Amino acid sequence: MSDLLLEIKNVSLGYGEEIVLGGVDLCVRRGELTVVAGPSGCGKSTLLKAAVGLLAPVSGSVRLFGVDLAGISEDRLSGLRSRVGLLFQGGALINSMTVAENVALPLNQFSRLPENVIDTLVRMKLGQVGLEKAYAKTPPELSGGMRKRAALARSLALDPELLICDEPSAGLDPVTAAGLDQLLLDLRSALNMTLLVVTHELGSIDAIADRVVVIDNGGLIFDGPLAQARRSDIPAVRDFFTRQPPRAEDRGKSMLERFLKTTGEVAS
Amino acid sequence: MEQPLHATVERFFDGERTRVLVRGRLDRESAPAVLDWIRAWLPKTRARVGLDLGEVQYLDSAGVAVLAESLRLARQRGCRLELVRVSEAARRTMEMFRFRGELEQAAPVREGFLEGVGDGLVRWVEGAREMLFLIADTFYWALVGPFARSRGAPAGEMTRQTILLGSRAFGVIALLAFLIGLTLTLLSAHQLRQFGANIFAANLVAVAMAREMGPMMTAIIVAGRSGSAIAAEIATMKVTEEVDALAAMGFSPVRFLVVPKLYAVTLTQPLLTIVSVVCGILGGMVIAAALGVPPQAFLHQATGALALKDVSTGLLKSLVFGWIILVVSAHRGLSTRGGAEEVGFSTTRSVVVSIFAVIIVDCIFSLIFYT
Repeated sequence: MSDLLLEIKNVSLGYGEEIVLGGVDLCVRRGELTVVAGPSGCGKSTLLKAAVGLLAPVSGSVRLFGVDLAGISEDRLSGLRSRVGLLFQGGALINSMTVAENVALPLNQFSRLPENVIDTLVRMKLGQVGLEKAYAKTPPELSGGMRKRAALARSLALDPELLICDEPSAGLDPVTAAGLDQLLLDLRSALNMTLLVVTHELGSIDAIADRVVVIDNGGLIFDGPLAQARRSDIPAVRDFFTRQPPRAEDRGKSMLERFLKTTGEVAS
Repeated sequence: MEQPLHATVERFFDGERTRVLVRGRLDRESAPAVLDWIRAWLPKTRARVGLDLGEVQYLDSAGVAVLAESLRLARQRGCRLELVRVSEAARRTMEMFRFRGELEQAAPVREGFLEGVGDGLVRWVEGAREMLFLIADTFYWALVGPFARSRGAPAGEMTRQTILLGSRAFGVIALLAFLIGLTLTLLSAHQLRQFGANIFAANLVAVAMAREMGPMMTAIIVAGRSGSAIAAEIATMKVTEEVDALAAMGFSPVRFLVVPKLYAVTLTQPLLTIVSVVCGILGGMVIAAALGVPPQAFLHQATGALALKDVSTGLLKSLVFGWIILVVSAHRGLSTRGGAEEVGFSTTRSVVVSIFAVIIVDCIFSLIFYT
């Protein structure tokens, strides 16, 4: 079987007439932990949606497990998706169902396991994310961080080959976040899971990333190992890793100076 | 006592041009007065005017907005307003807002009339296409789903939906149909009495309820209470990415969300319509009794007036109305994009569109069955 789980080639993405990302190339190899980083609103989540065929690209091709997603049948797509775990940014748990029912959903859909085995599996998955107590609760009764962990349990239900996480540790306290990072690393070493994680938490990136992809300004601006990203002299990548505020646009100052040009004096 | 202004404005000629000197705090309190002053005084000629902010001790965002407005005014009137001096405090605020003499405003794109019409048409066609796909998808899964290997909604979902759409609506439909039957009988009895044909009010009520009022009133009430609930539920799930999550887990959102409701509505809509017809006739009977027609005679007359065709068209119509409400509401829900406020919008639209569609289809039915 091919080593490339996800192959995104020259893909442009957008909603309606607005293009969010253009000309992106991204490959994910088996066993790798890739972090997609970049400023808020740069199109990271959009890229993830395209990776599992929730959003059709404007141009370019997406291959998941070697299969081109363009024009694929619903059945085939559904089969491919069963091998991918997707953790949404807001969790996206089904609010009308309990946490346990949510985690059991993919198990019911894709396995013929008897009910009590599924129940055991659900408890195991909830234990894995430290949410045994939330078994019978509904998502609105949980805190934001708990919802995220419950959603992670659901995306792990089928032991996916590829786990895609959209900001798993955003909004979590440092200890829980570190625990989650450790869990992701454990999943990779124990189950040889491949991970694609969107995050902009520097601590997380340092702890988990093998490889970093940085998106900015509607395109992919860096793709390489973490160490190389850290040393990068691309300004946007360097600013990201050194937590620099956005550069004061020089335009602002010069315009002010242009107004002052007649006398040029600035009182102090 | 009037609160003292934080800022003072004065005007003098500095040998080169007229200069406006602003002193003190140019903030939310003083900004309107300063703007009024500048507006009243700014020349309509091509004169050069200096705006001196050298004595401004404090400038806040409202102050910056006023400066931007003043510069805009100046450009509009054709004079040249230049910043002459800027105090350190004012400069800091202006830089924070990247004030460039004008705050960039994306000019609203005014589209032409034809463009608007074309845009609306394209959107309408797109919506109709989506709707057709949804109808096809819904009925495909409704028919194929029970025999498919993969699973749809969890067991018990259809029961839950039936209770939600059916028994919860029972009370309000029964009561309203009773009142409508009552009013209808009162109205017709009043007219028919002039011809001594009181008893025929029973015929009128029975036929009207079975053919028109029953299916229609039930549909309108169901659109209002259940259609809106369906649209709101699905729209919320769309907004919170639950629909995407279902798709990502390999479920067909239509099969998971819409099909159980289709089964439920197929069962409940005709039953609710029967309830409304029966309650309407009972309402008529009660008022007829008050007007001196014995209940037995009324019921006998009413049931005798009903032909099988009246009842079957009524039930067929109710079924189609139920499906229309479901598909319209589900479509509105699934096409919701954006945030929480869109949910409310979708809900309202679903009710308006489904009642509209129900009435139009009712007209078509009348044309088919009565001509």
